[in-house]
Amino acid sequence: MQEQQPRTLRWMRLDNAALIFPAAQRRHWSNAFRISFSFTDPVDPDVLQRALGRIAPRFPSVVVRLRRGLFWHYLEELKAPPAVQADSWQPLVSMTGADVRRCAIRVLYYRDRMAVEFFHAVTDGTGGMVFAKSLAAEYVRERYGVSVPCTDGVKDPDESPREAEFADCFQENAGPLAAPRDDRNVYRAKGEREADRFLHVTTGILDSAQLLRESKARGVTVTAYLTALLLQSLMQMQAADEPRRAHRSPVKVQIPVNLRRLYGGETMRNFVAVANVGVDPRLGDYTFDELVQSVHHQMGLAITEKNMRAIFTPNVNDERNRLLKLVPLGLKNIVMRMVFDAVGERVASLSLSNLGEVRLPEAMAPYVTRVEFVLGAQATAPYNCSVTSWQGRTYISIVRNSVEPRLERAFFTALVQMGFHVKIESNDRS
Amino acid sequence: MYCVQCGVELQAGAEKCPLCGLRVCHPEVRETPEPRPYPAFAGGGERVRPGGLLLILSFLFALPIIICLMVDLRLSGGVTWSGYVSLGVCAAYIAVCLPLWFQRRNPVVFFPITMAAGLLLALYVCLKTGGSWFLPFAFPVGGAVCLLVETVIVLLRYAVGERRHRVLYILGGASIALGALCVLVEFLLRVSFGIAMRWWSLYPLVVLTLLGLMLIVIAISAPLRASLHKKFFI
Repeated sequence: MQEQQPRTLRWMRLDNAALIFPAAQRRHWSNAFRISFSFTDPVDPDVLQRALGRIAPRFPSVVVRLRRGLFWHYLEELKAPPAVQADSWQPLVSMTGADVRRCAIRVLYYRDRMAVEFFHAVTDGTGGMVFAKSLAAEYVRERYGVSVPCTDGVKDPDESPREAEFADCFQENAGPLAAPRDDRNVYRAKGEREADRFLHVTTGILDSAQLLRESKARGVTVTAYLTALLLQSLMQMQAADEPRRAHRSPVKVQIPVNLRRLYGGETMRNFVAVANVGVDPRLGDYTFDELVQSVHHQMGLAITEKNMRAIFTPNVNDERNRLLKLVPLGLKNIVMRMVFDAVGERVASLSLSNLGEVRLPEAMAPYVTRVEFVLGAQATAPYNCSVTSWQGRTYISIVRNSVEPRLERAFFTALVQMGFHVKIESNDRS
Repeated sequence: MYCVQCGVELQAGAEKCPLCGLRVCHPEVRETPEPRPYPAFAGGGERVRPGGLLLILSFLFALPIIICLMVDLRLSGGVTWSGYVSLGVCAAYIAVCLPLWFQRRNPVVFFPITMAAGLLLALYVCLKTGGSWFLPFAFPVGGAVCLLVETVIVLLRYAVGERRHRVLYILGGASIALGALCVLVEFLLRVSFGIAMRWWSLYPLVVLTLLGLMLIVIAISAPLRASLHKKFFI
């Protein structure tokens, strides 16, 4: 009998957007996000482990660990998938350097919920959702014996990964012109940090149809509507922090844009760039309608194929710089960390990432009660916001690592005042 | 159950509103608690200790002390000039780095500590040089400066609140007290060192008292404040 050859583990350069994340990582903070699926029954960890073991070979660019080269970090496929773990009282418990060197994703379970947490250097929200859907589909197959077709973003665990899934699409799509970097003088919410870096997550649940109706009534998307509401809440907070209008700063929200929609491609790596939209409160007070229209038009101007290309091209140019390529990784990390601290997060007050309405194969939909997306907090400011919808409900999660829930209160009470029925859940420690 | 303050629906069995912290209480409604969205906090959250950067900074402060002590010991066989360097660096460390080790850097606490470090340095220099100026001069002057600044910090931190014009009262009072401090310095210079310079302290006393009184008058008179704001806004 022929002896089976040991499989060569695949390794990958980090994509252009991912380069910054290992350098920016701190002892108690890493750029990570989480996608969770809740089922009709409590999660069986053994079945979940089996499902993970079955789909892991299909995603060699996701089930990886981070490794150090002399000049760059790289991702290396894992021989075996990680063990599933019981969930913690807070999402996105910091992935330390040692953690991501072992495995850059986590699969967690709690009661009826399974969650996958991704170090952002591995993939973006869209890639993460494909992985999480495929894992959930395989879990439903194993747990309930249902035949789930590989549609709506669910990948077939028996097929081989396609080369296009490993592509660094930034390199393929960079253009000749680099847009200037954004203004850094924006409002950064203040707040006393939790001494143990406890991450609060407050989720508001509302009716998707009503949210869509209200947005359409103003002729804008749900993302634009929620962004305008966040801007309004941030302006309220800033007005409380700084009564003198002339001393206030512009308020901006960073909206990640899935570039696959603009340039095509089926990469499982990061392929996302951000559009910063905002207003300057020094110019005067804004009505909500003014904010909505301003955000709508800014998004229209920013999110075009040409403009987004110009936004990510400077980063690609930096990576292609021959002199920079030869700088040892340790030194590169120091410089990239400084760039991240000076530029990375300072161009916006927070991020609003909307994964939109989740679509799943009809066969598995009856077993899934909830799909949620949680973005980690920023390194230097306390908030971030993420949104997803499933079966007529929209889940808006605001994370914070400070003590006082200022943004959540302003944001969700504004929604209530606009006539929405909002249900609040939180992991607060009473 | 709904929060009567925020208007949001809360999880069944929630003890308080996560947005405003209002306790949920309705004697006639009995709810079966919903499962928590995350496992209950089991405590033991590790307090984050200051980062590696502070350790590096501490090492950078320690380095000149170690080098100076070694050179001094080698050259003169004892601690001579290196003592000044060491205590000076320690005082600078207390002023700059010590607050960084703490989450809450309250100047009400850290300013007197810094002043005490400075006075200790002065005491060391005085003793080492065989001087006798610490008790009659440095200690009372340093103590008075510490008292004055600490009072201003406490008042600015805890007594201003929404009434911003109280800053003018505090600064006015501080200005007059600073003038009085100049008189004390002159008196102590005269007593300790025999330096007599024809009542120079009266000049700053008069100027600072006038300035202080002016600030207090502005603080008292709201129309005057409005008028000045109109004339001098930036």
